[in-house]
Amino acid sequence: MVKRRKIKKMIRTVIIELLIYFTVVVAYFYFVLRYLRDWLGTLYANDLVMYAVISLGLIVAQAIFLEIVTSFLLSYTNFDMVET
Amino acid sequence: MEFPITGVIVDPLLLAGIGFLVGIMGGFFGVGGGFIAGPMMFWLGVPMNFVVGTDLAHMTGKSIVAARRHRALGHVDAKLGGLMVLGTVFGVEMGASLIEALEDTGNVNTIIGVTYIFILVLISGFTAWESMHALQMIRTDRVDVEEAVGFKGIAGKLHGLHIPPMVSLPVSGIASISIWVVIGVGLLTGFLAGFLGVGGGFIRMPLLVYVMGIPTHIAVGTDLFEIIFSAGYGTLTHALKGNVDVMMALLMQTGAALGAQIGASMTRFFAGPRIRLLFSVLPLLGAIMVMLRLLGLAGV
Repeated sequence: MVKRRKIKKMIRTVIIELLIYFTVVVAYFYFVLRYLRDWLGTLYANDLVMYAVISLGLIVAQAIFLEIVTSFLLSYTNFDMVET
Repeated sequence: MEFPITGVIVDPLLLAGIGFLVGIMGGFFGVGGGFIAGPMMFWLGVPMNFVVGTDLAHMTGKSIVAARRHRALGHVDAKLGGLMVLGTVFGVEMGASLIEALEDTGNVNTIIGVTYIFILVLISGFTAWESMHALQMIRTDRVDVEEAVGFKGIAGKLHGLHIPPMVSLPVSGIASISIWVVIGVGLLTGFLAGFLGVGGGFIRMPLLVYVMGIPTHIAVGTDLFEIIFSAGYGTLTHALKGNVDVMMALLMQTGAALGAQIGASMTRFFAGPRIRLLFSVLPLLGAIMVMLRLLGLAGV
């Protein structure tokens, strides 16, 4: 019974986290990624070496940024405290 | 949304959704998940050359997120991962060279496909057998649940090899091991990854546990740490060949970042043998994907 309650709590936490994260990602997509699209397309067509370097840089930078955001969300929604 | 680099129209939410699913799996099992994400992207209409490169790019980002999470949990042996990268790089090149040599025979795809299926079924069967055996040991012998491994033969013998220089891996609980064993395991996994054309997570994770005797949680975290370098290298080389749509990779990564965090956090709730038992299903899925491709029933 206690375990079931904890699982329910974990599922609820994940759903809350998903809703918050979905909002953040949609905002990020409209305000940041949309503006990168055409610029990256031009770079891909004109300078592949620069495109490769910038691609890797963007992937790493976004990963670090999103890790900070998701870590904050996980601690904010107490997902880390939930034990089954 | 239209992606100008690949020229295809894909719903960005679908890409983020794929990233999320693969992210959970990657964070939990320590695999890149390319054998699942690849076919999904292909079914969305992404051209095959972009599937491989873009998947590697998203894998790099996802592995950074998951490895950082595992590091916070104390599950990353950076020294082990760093040493293995040396062997992996040479191994990948050796595997790729063997493919080039086999291309002259004309039926390289069949040879690789059959080898792939054989290795994956072997890994799956062995991991399932061993983890069930370990779980039985826990029930009957009251062995510590985190440490239980139902097969220790090879790891014990390799730890006994004294070929200098020797290194200690305190994070993994190994007092002394020959550096050549560590590099050799990296070489073997790199060779298989290069030969089979995969990231190699589902080969490396069981090898770390059974051949080197690394605890499962640390094997998962260290595997992800190594994927950062191998997938990062792959991203760069594929991007130089024009095979990466970074917009797609960035979108997939938005979903993968959360999935990887959740997957990595979930490992705390499962003991090593249970993670390995669940993991044993993954290579079978990979084998089915390749079998479908060989039979001409799937594009990837």
